[in-house]
Amino acid sequence: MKYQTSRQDMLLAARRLSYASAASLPLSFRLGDRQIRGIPADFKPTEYKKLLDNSITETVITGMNDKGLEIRAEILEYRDFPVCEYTVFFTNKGSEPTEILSAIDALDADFCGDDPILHHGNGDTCGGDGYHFTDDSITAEGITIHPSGDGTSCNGAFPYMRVKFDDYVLTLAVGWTGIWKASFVQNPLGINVKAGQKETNFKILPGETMRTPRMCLLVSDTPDETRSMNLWRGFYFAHVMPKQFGENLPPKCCMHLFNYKGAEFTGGSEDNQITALKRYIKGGVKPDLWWYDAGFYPCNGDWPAIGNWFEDKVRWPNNGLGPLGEECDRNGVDLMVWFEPERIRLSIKTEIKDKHREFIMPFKNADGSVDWNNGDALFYLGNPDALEWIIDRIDGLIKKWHIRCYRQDFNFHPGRIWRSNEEPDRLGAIENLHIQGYYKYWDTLLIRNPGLYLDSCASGGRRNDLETMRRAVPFQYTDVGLGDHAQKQKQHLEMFEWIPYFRAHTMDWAHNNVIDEFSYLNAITPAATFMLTCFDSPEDFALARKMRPIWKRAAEIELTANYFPQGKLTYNKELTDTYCVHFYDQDKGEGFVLCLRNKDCEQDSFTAVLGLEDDKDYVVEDALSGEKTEMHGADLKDYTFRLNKREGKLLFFTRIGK
Amino acid sequence: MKPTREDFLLTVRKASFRLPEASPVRVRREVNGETVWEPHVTADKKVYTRSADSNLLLTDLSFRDAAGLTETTELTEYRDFPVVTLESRVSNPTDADLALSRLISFKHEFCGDFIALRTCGMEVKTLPCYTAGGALTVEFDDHTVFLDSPGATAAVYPTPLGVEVFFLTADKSVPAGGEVKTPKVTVMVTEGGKDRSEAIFTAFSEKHLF
Repeated sequence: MKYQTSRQDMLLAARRLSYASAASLPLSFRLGDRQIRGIPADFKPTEYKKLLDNSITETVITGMNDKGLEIRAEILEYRDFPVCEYTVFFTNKGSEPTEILSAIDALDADFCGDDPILHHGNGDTCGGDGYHFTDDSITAEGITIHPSGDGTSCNGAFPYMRVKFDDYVLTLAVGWTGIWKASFVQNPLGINVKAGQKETNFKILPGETMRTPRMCLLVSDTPDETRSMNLWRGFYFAHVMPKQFGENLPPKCCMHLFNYKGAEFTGGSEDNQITALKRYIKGGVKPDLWWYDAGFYPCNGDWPAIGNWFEDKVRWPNNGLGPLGEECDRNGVDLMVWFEPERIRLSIKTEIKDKHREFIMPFKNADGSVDWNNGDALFYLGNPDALEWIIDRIDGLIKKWHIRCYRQDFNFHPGRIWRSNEEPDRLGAIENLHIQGYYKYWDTLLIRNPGLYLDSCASGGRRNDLETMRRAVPFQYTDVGLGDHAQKQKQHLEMFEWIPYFRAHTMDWAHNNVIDEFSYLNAITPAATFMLTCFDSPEDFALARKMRPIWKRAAEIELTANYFPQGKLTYNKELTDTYCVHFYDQDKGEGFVLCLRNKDCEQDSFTAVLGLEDDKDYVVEDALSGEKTEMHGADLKDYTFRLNKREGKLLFFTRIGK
Repeated sequence: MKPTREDFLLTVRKASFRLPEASPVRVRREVNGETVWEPHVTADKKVYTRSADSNLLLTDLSFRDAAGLTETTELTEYRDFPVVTLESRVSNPTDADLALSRLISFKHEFCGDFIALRTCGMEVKTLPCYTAGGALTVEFDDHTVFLDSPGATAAVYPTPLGVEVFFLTADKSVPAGGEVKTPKVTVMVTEGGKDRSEAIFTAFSEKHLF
């Protein structure tokens, strides 16, 4: 079986997502007292349409009113997927501040259809309740969702959702790395959907530009949610996932020397990192990526103490991490280094606080006072000088240290800082300018460093919205449950569905942290960290050498194939469920099914429903035993696993012939 | 045939047009009896870069001179192939027709040890070469540059460090309030010889053009 775009999908998109004109653009906002929809005639809009390639048409609509407020909409219509996405920019080209723009909804559109049900999630809450999805009927009372307000885009609400009607499915992704909102209200013919930056009530100063979140909408012409999910995955692989030298990022085996001589990587040194890397290579487990997380800077073992973006010269005496980067390059390993440039610790002496205080935006008390000696403050990327400074500093380190993967973390809550610094007539403006700076920062690093790839982290997965995922992959999509199989399995099901490149660890906290085959099978994800230390036994290395090709083969399939979820896993910390996922790439004739019976699961059999081709023959290979059999597709419509507790099985399918 | 990391690094080195100063478009006209090449260094420059999707990086470079002549180059850089395309528009917002003595839609030096130029089914080893065909394969000792600009005439000159490639249009004026658009120029830089270049361009065409 293959899920792919149909003619009916494209016709539906032409009907439902026809937004590429000044009048049909589903933008709404207030300008002073005036309610505006689209780009009205008094802005004298002009349209410029261009075929960017054979699958994307770009329409740019630009209009300006007599006071110099320019509205520019950039709309992309895809011809290989039933998708329309767009962003709107407001620029003040006049010499006076504009009137107040408020209630800006980048999307304010009606969708006809019966029985609408919203499928939405709470994202990464940094707690055990995260990555939880629910289905809610959309009624006249409506549903409004938004993240928590801490200033991250995925904490409390997930900016990927879909509405299931009785005859089609609408998928919506909101690309905004700040605080967004979306509302869904039933109306006589279907529903009205509004989405945008949550707080907008600002004048725009002369020369300034504000933008809306990127709106991305996909429709699929049947009520089949699995089909809709696979169209989204196909779109994601084709048009969202970052490229590295022409290809989507391949599976990455990520290894490290963690918590050695200091918390996190605060004890990392040129000598111990290079020695550890060499031990892995000598042991036959060469990483694709060498992970150096928080702590290369001077911080006395306290990794959150940041604001100095240069190396601790005691641990890194020779050109910082350059020797480690060179060693990685020599061995074909990508060096990853952790940064957190948007947070400054105020209680310590740092280069940024001491020499560039003008780049820092602290929390402002109600009386306007500021405590410069406690807590964390924002490195304000909305300040062009600050932006240029941090770009030059980090770009310099990337080049000097041979960094191939730039990891960016974000461990605090900017929302309260934005709000405390915004006057009532600039509500949302500082957030908007900071987020624009964040995109420009990443875009510039990518442009200046061909082949560089980015890892997005924000205490886990709190900032994995569409705009961030266009530029980065989420290796650390959560900080929660890394070795808790029940939590991991639940998270993986959601990630495969929405953000299908992510990483897992081969750990099992409920089993004395033993790293065995079952632990490895719980980390069959596009990227993985084998929790093998460089001090482990030859037997541990032998197991890693056995599991690595199994993981890689399955991970490669995950990055191209259709995904067939096998029922919904009930969230359960007691490990009483079976976990099962199935992928099949009909173009390549390759797939696999993975079934894991958790340690407290009483059900001794599980039947997976497979999506293979009935009229084809397959080699079925047990990944762990290597045993191979040939079977006919019609006999593989389903497959019943019989497993012991805490046992897993992974079967590869290879089509015989075309 | 798939491009490699080296192909992308070569393209960045040899075909980077994102900075205004590196724009390969040239307009020649007579102003008060003097020959002026535009965009002039004094022109008001604007650069706007954005990603369309994860494959396409778009940059608009625009120049506006004191008289109102505006030249806008739309640059598309592919992230899945070592390919760059350029298209330019020259606009004349004034009330009078604007006479051009030449409009060069592409002028760029490619450095390297030149081996041969292939165009219109011919192999040329001695430069300069003028051709009405828009497709050129310039082979160097260790890499190949493929260029295509349907509708433009081409000239390839030797330089001390390699070759300089020109695509010229026939436009001689821009009507009052109107604009002229230059033929699209496609540039691809790959390691190795012409066979590899052709195979990668075929793969590019299948994915992005057909």
